[in-house]
Amino acid sequence: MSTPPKQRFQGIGWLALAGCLVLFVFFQFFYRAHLCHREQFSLFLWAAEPLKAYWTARAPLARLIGDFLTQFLGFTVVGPLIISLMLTVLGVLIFKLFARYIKWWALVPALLVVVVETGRQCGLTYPLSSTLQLVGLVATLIVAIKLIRKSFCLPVLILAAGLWLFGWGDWVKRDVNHPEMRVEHMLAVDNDWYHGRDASLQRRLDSQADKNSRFDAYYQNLLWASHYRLGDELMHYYQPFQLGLFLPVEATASYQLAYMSGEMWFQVGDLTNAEHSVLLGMLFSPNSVGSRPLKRLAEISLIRGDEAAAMKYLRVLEKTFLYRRWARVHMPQNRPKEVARWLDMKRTLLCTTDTVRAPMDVGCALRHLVEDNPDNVFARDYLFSFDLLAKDIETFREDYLRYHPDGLPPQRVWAEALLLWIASHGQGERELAELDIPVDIANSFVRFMEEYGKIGTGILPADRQIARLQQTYGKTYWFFYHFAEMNNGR
Amino acid sequence: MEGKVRWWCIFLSLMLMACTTSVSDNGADAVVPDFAGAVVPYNIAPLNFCLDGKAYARAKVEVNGEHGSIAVRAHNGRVMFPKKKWHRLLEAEKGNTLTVSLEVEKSKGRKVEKFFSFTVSLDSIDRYVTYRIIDPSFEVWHKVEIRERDLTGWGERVLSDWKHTDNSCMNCHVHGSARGNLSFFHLRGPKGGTILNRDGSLRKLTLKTDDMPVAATYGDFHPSGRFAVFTWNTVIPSLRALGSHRMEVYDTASDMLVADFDAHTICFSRLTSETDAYETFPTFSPDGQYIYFCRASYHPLPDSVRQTCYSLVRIPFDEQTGTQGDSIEMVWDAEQEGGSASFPKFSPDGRFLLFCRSDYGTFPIWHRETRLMMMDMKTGVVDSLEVLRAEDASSSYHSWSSNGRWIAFASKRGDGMFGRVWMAHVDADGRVAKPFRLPQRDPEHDRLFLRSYNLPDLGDTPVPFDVRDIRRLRNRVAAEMFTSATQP
Repeated sequence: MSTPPKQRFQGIGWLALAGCLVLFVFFQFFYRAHLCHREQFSLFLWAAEPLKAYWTARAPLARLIGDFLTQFLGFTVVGPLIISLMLTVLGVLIFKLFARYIKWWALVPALLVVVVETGRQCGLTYPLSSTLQLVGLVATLIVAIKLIRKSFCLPVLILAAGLWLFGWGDWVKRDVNHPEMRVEHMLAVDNDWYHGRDASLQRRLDSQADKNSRFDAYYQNLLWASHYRLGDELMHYYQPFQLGLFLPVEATASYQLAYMSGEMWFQVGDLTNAEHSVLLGMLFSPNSVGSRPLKRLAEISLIRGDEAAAMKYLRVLEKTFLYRRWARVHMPQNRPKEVARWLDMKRTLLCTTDTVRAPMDVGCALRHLVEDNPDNVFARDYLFSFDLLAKDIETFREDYLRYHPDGLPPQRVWAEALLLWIASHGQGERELAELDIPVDIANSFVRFMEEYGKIGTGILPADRQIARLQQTYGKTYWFFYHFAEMNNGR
Repeated sequence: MEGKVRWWCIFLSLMLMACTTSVSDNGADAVVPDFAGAVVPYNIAPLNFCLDGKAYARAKVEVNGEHGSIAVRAHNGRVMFPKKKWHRLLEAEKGNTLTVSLEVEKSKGRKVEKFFSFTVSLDSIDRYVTYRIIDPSFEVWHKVEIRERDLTGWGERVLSDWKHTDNSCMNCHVHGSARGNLSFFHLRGPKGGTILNRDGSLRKLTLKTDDMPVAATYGDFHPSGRFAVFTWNTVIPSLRALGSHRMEVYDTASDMLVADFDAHTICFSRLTSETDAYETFPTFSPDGQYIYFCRASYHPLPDSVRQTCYSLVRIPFDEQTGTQGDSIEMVWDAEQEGGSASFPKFSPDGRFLLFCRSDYGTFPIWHRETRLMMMDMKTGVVDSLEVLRAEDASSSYHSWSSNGRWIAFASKRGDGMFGRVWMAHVDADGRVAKPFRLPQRDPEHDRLFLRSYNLPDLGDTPVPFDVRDIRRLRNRVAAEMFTSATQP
């Protein structure tokens, strides 16, 4: 007497549970930033027209459920749970489909499909709905096979419905993805910045400090500038010259970088460039829309006082489940005091005069912001850093004398650069006193210059002498000024 | 006792009155898009609208005319009329004013009624309008489409799109004299060219010669269809720092040319080629005897962008020889009028010239102050068309219907960011009525749609091509080359 099928594959439940757990751990602890990013660059609108549009598209049910679930991917535990359950269900269904024919060997196709789909879900462009299409179609097939002995019409109808609902001809063709931990790091950094988790962000940046990444330098500078520490800490992290201060907005740049480049512009108060970056990032993203860029566009419009444009974005966000409340508290009629205060604060950074300039003319934009508003500390620090990282101490000194508030001593890096200028122009103690440069930095500079002057003259080879100098002065602007060289390969 | 009853009656009447708003056209403040007081064509699709405010979520809406009415109930604030009944009503009410009443059930069963009205014109509008769907990005394109919409209903057809052209950029589709069998648009990119639809045949043209740094840009047809006038423009997009201005787009070089589609020639005039003035937005007069265009004297750009103002000028054109005349006449002097003209378009009878007026510059779409102006060519009087003016949003890229009674234009009114199609009636004397927005099947569409409608161009018949034709033309057909000639 043969064993009933249910008993025969009893272990499959445990296997599925174990697989689900592995997937959950991977997505929760190693790959969560990807899920958050996917949620931020998608939009599920609970409105008649967008919902109706699903039914005229291919694979309507898979798309509807996929897009609905995508909005929860950003939640801790929930997002990884959704994706791991979905992949597990797919594996179980594939196993069920084949088990009646090849017994336990059915694990092979099941595992294979789950591994491939997991890889695909590790990408940023592969939608949940594509895996749901597979789930739906395999489930339809199983039901149809089960019913085929009882009736002919019903399974055919079920198959037809399954094909319609889960994707006749709507196979999103993508290369097999694999987990990209470098991208995960980038997205995690960006995500920490977005949520204001400064300590976590700093830990993440420190953990990759030896990688000398322009991207990390960009966020490190943003983080320091937001705490007004750029003038003290600028040289404490890898600086790829001026490139660490901004990210490129070019046709060749990825949509993530285009979007992230807007963070700097938003912080310094250049809302035209910020909006430019956000729109480009959103436009070239997989869905050409997203809750995060829409929120930022609404904020930009509100800060500008362009409430009509802001209402456009807020009305769209009001149709979502997750951002409805956010949208409502940002609408003019419901705005709480803290939102109003934040808007007032951001408005103080804005330009008060107009210019016409090329996109990404960073120096011109920063100088204009500080010229219009010398109290814009963020922009001022960025301008000083922009001059210094180009090794342009002449322009730095001009900008410093023009924009640095009187009575405040210079921060460490500014003081180091001023000392370099004084030394190169043979200016003396009067200038030192006028600029209020701390004595310990001046003394340190004297020692640095003595040692710098000895390079190539002693018994030790020059590179050893430079290495020794780096040990003591590697995190000073003097060392950067004299020894930093652009590595085009990075 | 009687006195008490009387006082109670007065009190209750006052309470009821307090719950009822006044009956006036101003009652349309909750209606989006607002078409109270507009004049609409009798063949237009149902003017569905949204009602703002929770109180109107299930409002009963009634459109009443002399010969009939339609009543519908709002669904979550969305008011959608049945198409057949709507057309029957408008057909019966040609020339009449219709009243829209909103009946709202309040929590305690009381009702508030609001009214507004609109007029059904005796003039029909061309059945089709083409437009480009673009993202409101700054200087790049992505997923551009050209679509054609049936104005009597909800039908919409994609004429050319990014999917079938390897995400190529394409410029706006322009009809010749609102004819469906005469139109062009520029398809950019490696296999691109100017797509010419003329008398049932589709051609791909390279409207660029060695003398031109870039291919033809803005243009319009001669009434014969044999010629078209273009300018080539070196267009520079720049960012602006202040407020919501966002962009300033200007030309650093430009020139005007006439293309002969039969002889495959491009003809330049020394009057425009040998000066460093900027020329743009050319158009033929309906009799074909003049080319009207915008012209500004040279200024170093972008520094002097605020001083760069374009006048409207004209140059004679000889259809027999395909050549331009030997003098340029001023039509609208930018210096004198204090503004900058762009995009002149003639009514089909040649009586009116509609153009955009901005404070300065040449790209009206990013100038919020841009508004439409209409010159009566009989009297030379310019009407500033206050009725079309939108607060803090541009109105631009207009076109005329074939009967000259309707104009369609793009305007960013409402949010200042996303262009939408608006239409307005023009009577025989050039009086323009309040505009109405292109109706949508779901009135919430325009609120949620995050893309812009660009250059709505009216056409009397559908254009005879679609995405497949454009794909075939792009991929399999070589572009016809043109040679240049500078007339003496």
